[in-house]
Amino acid sequence: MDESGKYWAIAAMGVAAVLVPVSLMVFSALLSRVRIRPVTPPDQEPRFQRMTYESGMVPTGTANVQFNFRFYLFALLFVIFDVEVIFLLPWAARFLTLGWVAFLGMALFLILVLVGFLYEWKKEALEWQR
Amino acid sequence: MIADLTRGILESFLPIGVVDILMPLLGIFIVVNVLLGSAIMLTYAERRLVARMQNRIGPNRVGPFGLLQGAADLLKLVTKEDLTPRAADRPVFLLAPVLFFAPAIALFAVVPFFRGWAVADLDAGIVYVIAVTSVSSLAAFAAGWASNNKYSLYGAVRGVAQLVSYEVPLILAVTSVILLSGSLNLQKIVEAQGIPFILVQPIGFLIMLVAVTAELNRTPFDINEAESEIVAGFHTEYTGTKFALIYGAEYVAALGWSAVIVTLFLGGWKPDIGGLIWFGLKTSAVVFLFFWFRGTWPRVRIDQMLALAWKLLFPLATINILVTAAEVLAAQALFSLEPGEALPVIALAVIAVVNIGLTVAVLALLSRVPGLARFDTQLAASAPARG
Repeated sequence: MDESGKYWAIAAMGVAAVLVPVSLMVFSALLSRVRIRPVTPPDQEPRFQRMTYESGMVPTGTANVQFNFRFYLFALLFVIFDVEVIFLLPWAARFLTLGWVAFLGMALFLILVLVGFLYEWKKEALEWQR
Repeated sequence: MIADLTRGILESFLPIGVVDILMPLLGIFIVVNVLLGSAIMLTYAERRLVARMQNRIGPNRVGPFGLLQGAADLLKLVTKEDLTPRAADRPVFLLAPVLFFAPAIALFAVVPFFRGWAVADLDAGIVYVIAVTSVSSLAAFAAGWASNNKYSLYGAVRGVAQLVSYEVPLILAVTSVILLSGSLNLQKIVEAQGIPFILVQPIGFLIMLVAVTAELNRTPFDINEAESEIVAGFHTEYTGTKFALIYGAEYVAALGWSAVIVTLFLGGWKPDIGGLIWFGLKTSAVVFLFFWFRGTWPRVRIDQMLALAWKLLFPLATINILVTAAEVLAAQALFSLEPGEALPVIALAVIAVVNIGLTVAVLALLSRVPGLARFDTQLAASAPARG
């Protein structure tokens, strides 16, 4: 198979992958048409049937609240280090050919990254509670 | 072999152009169906195995030994009433189960099942795996946010923090395998394994195993659906078919990641006897490992989870890459290999011996770091002495 053929196969797999969950949902929707799956008409719906679950209590307020800012901090860390990691992949794939020069270059880069990482650690950016 | 045979039969009554298009589609059809069947069976297998580990019997009523339990559950869930909470964001709420399920199946497009056969034998196969699986963090957040439920939101933000944190050590562990094999193509990575890379790269394997457990949200890293804290986490509001999809997607993803671990570290389809049997056995063994974890370990807290990813796995994986690169260079000098020549088995064996020694040393060292020591020894130290 040539390279473009492979990407057509990937596309076909993607279509199949989306089709499976969608077809299951459509199938179960059709089941309610033939009255195998129950459907409550909107006017007969019990008051609490489609209420947000909150351990049996009547829910208070909305759930679209601000969450803990520390999550943003870890998302930021991820962006920094994931870019570094993407940089590593092509280097690793050709490392057998490249030899010493590539090793020294990448060692320098990784040591720089690790120093920055240690600085973050020292600044307690990795602590959940401080 | 089987592929060639099928091709021969098809070519006897169809033009070659049509057969070229039909063959991958046939492959996809078989792969997807086998996957769905095994996902249904896995839900049963996990319940039975975890039950045995907890000294219970587990489901044994539906069919012989309860074998049809998974199918019965699916049937029940599909015929349940479709409830969307009034407060939910309807389109995103509907989209989230599809976002969960689709990448889990799409992952299998590059997994090499036999020598020389995958649905699409991409040259950048491992990059495709990483790209496709990272969609699951998006799906977890979509589900949690769209439910408009406080438990779901907590589960979602925890889940995203976890998936994102463990992605970094995961890719770093994969990189150490790429260094040894010199290719991003999964088929070539399998061929490069004169010795399974679990022996050559034990630290990489351990990091990968921990990171994959976290990526799959399996115990001990199931804090985003922790049932004793936040009901069911991001899928609290999901019922019926949509719940079945989310639940099934977790098992398909577990199979997919196990297949990737087998490909990268356990020698994939090697030894090349009996076709799919070896690959299936190894994948099942890795899946069993995940079930075993669930039967063994308590859940971690969120600060422990993040500390493990960033303070231990990330630096360890980075140093592991530098050490592996140095070992590859040393092996090239020692066995006077041409640049670009694949590492022979003897070179891999030497690296394996060195790395196994290093792993034992690292594990012995880590057990002495305060805070990483075993829980019971910590307890013993902190408990007041009894007279």
